[in-house]
Amino acid sequence: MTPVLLDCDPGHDDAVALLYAVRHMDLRAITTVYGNQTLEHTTRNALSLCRLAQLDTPVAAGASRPLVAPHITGGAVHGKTGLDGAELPEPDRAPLDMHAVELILRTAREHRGELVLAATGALTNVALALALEPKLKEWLRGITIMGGGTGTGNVTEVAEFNIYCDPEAAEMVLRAGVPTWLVGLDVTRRVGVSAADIATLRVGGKLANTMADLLDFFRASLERVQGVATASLHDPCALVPFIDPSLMEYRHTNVRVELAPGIARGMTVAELRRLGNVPLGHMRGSAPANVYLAREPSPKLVGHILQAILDVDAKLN
Amino acid sequence: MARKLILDVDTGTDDAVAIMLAALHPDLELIGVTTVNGNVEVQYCTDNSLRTLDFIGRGDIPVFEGLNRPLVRPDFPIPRAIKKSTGVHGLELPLPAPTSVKQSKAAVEFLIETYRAATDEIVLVPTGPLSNIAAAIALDPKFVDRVPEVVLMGGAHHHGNVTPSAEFNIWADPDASASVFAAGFRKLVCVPLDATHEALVSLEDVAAMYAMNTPAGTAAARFIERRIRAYDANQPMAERGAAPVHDALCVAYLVDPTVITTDFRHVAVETAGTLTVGRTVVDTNFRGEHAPNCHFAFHADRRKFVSMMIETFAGTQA
Repeated sequence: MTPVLLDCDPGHDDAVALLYAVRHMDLRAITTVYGNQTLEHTTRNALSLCRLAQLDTPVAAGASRPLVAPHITGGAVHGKTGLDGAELPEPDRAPLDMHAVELILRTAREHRGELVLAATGALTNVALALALEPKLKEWLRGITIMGGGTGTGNVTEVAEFNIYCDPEAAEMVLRAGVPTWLVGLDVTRRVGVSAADIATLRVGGKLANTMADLLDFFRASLERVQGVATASLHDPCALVPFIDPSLMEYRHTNVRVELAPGIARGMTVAELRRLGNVPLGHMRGSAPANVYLAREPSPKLVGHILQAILDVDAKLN
Repeated sequence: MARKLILDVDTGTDDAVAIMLAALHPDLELIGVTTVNGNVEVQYCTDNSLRTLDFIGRGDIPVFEGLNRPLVRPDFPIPRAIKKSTGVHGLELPLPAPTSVKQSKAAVEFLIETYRAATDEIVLVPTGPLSNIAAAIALDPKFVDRVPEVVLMGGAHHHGNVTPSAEFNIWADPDASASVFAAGFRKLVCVPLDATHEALVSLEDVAAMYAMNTPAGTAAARFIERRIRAYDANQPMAERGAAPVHDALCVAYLVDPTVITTDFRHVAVETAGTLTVGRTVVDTNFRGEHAPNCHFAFHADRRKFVSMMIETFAGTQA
């Protein structure tokens, strides 16, 4: 199984991503970052989820704020704790006494050429790790990210939350030269669960029912805040390339982040034009492809993710 | 009664087709053409507009020359490339030189005076960079209130053409564009690439236009054939042997609003971005704080659009 480190800000859909990784990958470590809630909450949530899913995976806390951008959090959708809607067990351990960046580097060193770094929150930890250790980019098999939306936004008109939290970090990561997969809001919005989909988890045990409670809360929040009837399973989509690439179509293209302080700040700018071989008048090309950008989710993806939750649940004592 | 309109153009092969559709469709009355720096420098836009109107026997429609550069910037956001006569437009359209001459009045003056004096509704249809329109807004505080409807070609949501995120007309004068979108026009309809790339005209349609043996059919066929060759080479569409004729779609909308499908959204123009300058920022998810200001076309009906052009240029419409 592919070794993976999950850098996340749980967060309801992060919790789903965590279980999706447990089911289909070798989850070696979890690092946390501010985002859906403060770092204190997201770290506590990661530890509670580990206890709930009976995981002894190492957890380390990382950045509590962006590199340079002003700090925002996603409390409106994820609630006061970042994981409202269910009774979660108290953590039965503390995070490791090391920074997330150290755990990223240690894990990557142990699994040279094999480790996948999956990032489902702001990219502050990942950018810091790449800056601190120039060899990290050679140690990683790839970085796979949920973020952006190529024109579809949920914070501003065109900027998605994870990228908007720390646009400078995101641009650093996209420019790092590591094979990178990116799934944005324009795609994850099409990977949503209805109330009926969520109810299918109720046949399971405590873990599956807790996840159903969480997703019910998340779906209701999104309906209230964004007026959508289904809850998008944004974060697990990031793991698809290493779980079953047939569940998503990708385009290898150039993606960058708008950093200028205009109305498009934080937008992921993707090359989606079809350009011929003849240069034309004013048309400007773009830099070489740096990202496998998700374009088209399989209709089977939602079912695959929900089944993974039930599978993990079934293996618990 | 025919709908009156003014076309503000940077002719340009697709502008020329828009001019012919507006000048020849019996439901429309083209009362004037204003030109602006864009696809080619403004003196060529003026000359091309005149030769198009002369060729179809409508040299009676006056042409007014407008701004020769963007409103604020000394040039486009990045210096323009050297023009190649092999591109989508070329400098001079493949028609005889005009016999008509441009009006002595400047375009912006004509726009302001016409709307000040208007008793009928006149739709304003800009299909080039928005420099003239922004200048009129700045010069006459009542201009915005006097224009009943603006139907413009420009912008893009899914992907741009001049850059990955911006369409040429909006990008070419982003400051002017920002001013037009923010001006508060009573009705603003935007026809972006998302719609025009669905309204492709094929080589088969071009053959039908040549076969008409009418001046408009011949001219349209020449322009569109040139566009198809250029698009196939440097910006292939989903279908080879076909190209968008962006500007004419705006004119078609005045005759039949169902040629496009619009969503009412807030649209603003990015002027500060380094990667996104000139992008139409569309609030598709209602994340912004502004009320909708624009009917933004995400789709088009290709068959209706092509049929309308073919019938109009053949002179056979009912």
